[in-house]
Amino acid sequence: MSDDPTQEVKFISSLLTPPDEYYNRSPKGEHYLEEVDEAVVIPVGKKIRFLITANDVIHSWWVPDFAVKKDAIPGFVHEAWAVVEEPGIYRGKCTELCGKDHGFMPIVVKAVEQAEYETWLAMKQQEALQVYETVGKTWSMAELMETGEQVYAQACQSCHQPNGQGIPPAFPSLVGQGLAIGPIDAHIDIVVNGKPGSAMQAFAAQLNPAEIAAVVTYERNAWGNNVGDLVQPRAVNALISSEE
Amino acid sequence: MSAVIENHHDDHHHGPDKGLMRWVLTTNHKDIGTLYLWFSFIMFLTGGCMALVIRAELFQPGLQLVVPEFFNQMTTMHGLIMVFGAVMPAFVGLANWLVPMMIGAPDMALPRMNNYSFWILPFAFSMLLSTLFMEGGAPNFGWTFYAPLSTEYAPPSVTFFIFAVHLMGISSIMGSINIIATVMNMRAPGMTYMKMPLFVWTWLITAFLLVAVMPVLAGAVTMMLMDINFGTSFFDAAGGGDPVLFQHVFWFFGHPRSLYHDSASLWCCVSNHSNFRS
Repeated sequence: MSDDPTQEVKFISSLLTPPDEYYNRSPKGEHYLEEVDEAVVIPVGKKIRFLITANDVIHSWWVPDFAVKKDAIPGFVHEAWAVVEEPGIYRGKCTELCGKDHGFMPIVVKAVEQAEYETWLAMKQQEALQVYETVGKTWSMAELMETGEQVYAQACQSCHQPNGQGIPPAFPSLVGQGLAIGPIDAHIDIVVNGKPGSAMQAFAAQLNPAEIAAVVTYERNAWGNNVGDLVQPRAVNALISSEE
Repeated sequence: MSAVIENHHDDHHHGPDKGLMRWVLTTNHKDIGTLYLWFSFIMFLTGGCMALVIRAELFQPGLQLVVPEFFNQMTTMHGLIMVFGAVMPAFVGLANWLVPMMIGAPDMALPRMNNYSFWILPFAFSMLLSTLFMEGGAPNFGWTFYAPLSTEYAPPSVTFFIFAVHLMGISSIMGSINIIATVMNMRAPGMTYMKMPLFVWTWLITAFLLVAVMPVLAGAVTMMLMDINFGTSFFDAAGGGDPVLFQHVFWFFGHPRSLYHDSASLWCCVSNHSNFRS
């Protein structure tokens, strides 16, 4: 996390379609598997440069209306550009087989007028500022667990599964074994830095210190894991800063 | 002693072995061609069943029959089996049957190796199919197996897949060498290169291409093997490698294989056939 939280805007865009729709338990919506919680917002009439990379396997960023289809390759940055004339919502998909959730990672780009873009930017910066402040405060166990559950659902459960059991041996179980009930420093380290040579990626750039602290605390105290300890966001922040 | 001599017949060693051993030990190019064609047909049905699973799941949107993990295993195994187990052996089977007859040769140049080339395949595909029953499931990264999905993120059965690809490559290279040796050395008197049927020409060129590109595929999967088991970073940017290197190496094999091998063999079957008919 940079010292000036307003420098850049960070967000993760996740699938919005509820599992009930793709498990056929409820009718499918109009934008079934093509909707996300956080769209990429760009201003119209300007040349936008997209920098595309990945942090696990190769994906491909495909938005047909922009005539952009660019592979996202871990360790490399590709670029593409587009000038969007019409405000509106533009949809795309991942177009390089990336694993079992390949069909569940759509792209949504929202093109808006410059003024609206600036409003969005200001709102995002305000949110970032709030996150920056929350990192400094002391969190209670209940707060960490609540946030941790959300973060887990967003960042961890596609591999480690909603029940924490994973899909061994590629994605180990977190329940009653391993780092999740072991030393907390090692547990934080694997979330922050990942584990080279395995599918566990580094989350330091994706999640903020509060989210990392929350999800570590959650994993240590969910599904019958009863380690009972917790970690404060500021401790995670200090760890990340010291590594930088 | 005299009784033994009286019962001795000079003719009972002749002809092929009887029963199963006829097919296991055969060096006859038509028998081996038949084996290739039956093997190809069985693999075609196996891969076809997997395609049915895929299409049945896609019959309507949403998840109904299989989980995404298994769906990806089906697409991967379907692709590998159809490409390496159905299409390629089918054309090798046709080549075994037709090339010696078309050029007036009594058999292939290297009949014992011909037998070996074929019999590697059932073992290679048994190994590939056995991954379906392994912990973590079969390969699930698509038949083009792009790293790092096929290395860091792959199920442990990927090592069996790699060894199976090695075996298929050995079989394919030996079959190709056999065809080259046959066409270059065993043409009947008067069968000059310019008189050779189109099918034989196609196979001569295809065989050279296969000898050139199968080792490249073997190199690609060996690099995967090293990345997965021995700590190298050929396809891992974090260690100075490049995931795109895999794609370049793979398609150095895949492009000639799909374009010149499969399509050229197919179209020359068609054009030969229409020549004979016209």
